[in-house]
Amino acid sequence: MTMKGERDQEYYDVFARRKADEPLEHIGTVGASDPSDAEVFAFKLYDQWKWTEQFVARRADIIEVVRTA
Amino acid sequence: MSASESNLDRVVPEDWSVTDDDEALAALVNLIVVLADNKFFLGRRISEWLPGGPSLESAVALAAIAQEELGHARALYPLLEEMPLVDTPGPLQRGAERERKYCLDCLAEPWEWWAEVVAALILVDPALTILFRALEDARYDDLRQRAARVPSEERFHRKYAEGRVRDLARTDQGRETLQRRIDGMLPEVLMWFGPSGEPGVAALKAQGLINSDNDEMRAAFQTDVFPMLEENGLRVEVGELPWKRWNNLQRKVE
Repeated sequence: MTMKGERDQEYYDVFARRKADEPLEHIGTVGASDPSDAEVFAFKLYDQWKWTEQFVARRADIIEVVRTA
Repeated sequence: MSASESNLDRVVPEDWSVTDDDEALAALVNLIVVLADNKFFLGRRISEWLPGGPSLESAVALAAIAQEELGHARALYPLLEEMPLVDTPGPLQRGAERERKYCLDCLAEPWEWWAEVVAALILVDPALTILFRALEDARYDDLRQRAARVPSEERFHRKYAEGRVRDLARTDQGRETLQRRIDGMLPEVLMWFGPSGEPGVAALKAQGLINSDNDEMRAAFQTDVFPMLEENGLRVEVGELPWKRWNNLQRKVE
């Protein structure tokens, strides 16, 4: 096995909904080097349903409004 | 595609309405087995690297890609049984079912380096997709329908491949390692589209079974892939292609 040369990774949160009238759910996270990788990894890792919509958002870009505990 | 298997015996021609041109039929058989075998061995070679994936996410994505490549092969092999010919090549399940393989030489043996995986993902897989796209108007319904699903699945293969190219190309050492693998694979991949004016492809095009000729497919591949490689500091200079070593039937460099 040899060098893979991975770049630094960040966490991306993955959101999806199964049907258009269902709420968007947080379904997990992926570690990725860029948004394009995050898109691929989320699509392949979280394929337990045939989603109607799926999104990734860089965790660092999500603004924390309330945090308890 | 090669028409050099035209000595195969025709059977039940009355059940076959796709083409009555012997040269086109032989080229069609060759086209299907070449696409299927290359998909099979691409999936097989990728699968051998699953334990070596760089991260959980990358390994899972790579496993899905391998599974889809093998799925594309499995979708094509049954078409060979529809051909009105005897002795068409049989399907591969483990890879050793028949002596003659119709895959690129760069897929024939396990890869020793991760850079070979990446080079194949960014060269071989897009080359196959170019050919699948050339079948989207084919008069042969079963082939057109099977070919149609491939490019949409390949969208994520391509994004994955580009990410791995960026991984390697970010350092001088990684970029040079990848460059060597690209230099090794690229001539054969370019030749895989066949020499200019190849009679088998001309027959397929005349019969409405493919929508591009050899040079058009090769040019489409270069337009599709070369800019991305160059953006990452990789060279795509191609000298004279070694056509004397080209095996037209198995579509590989010997």
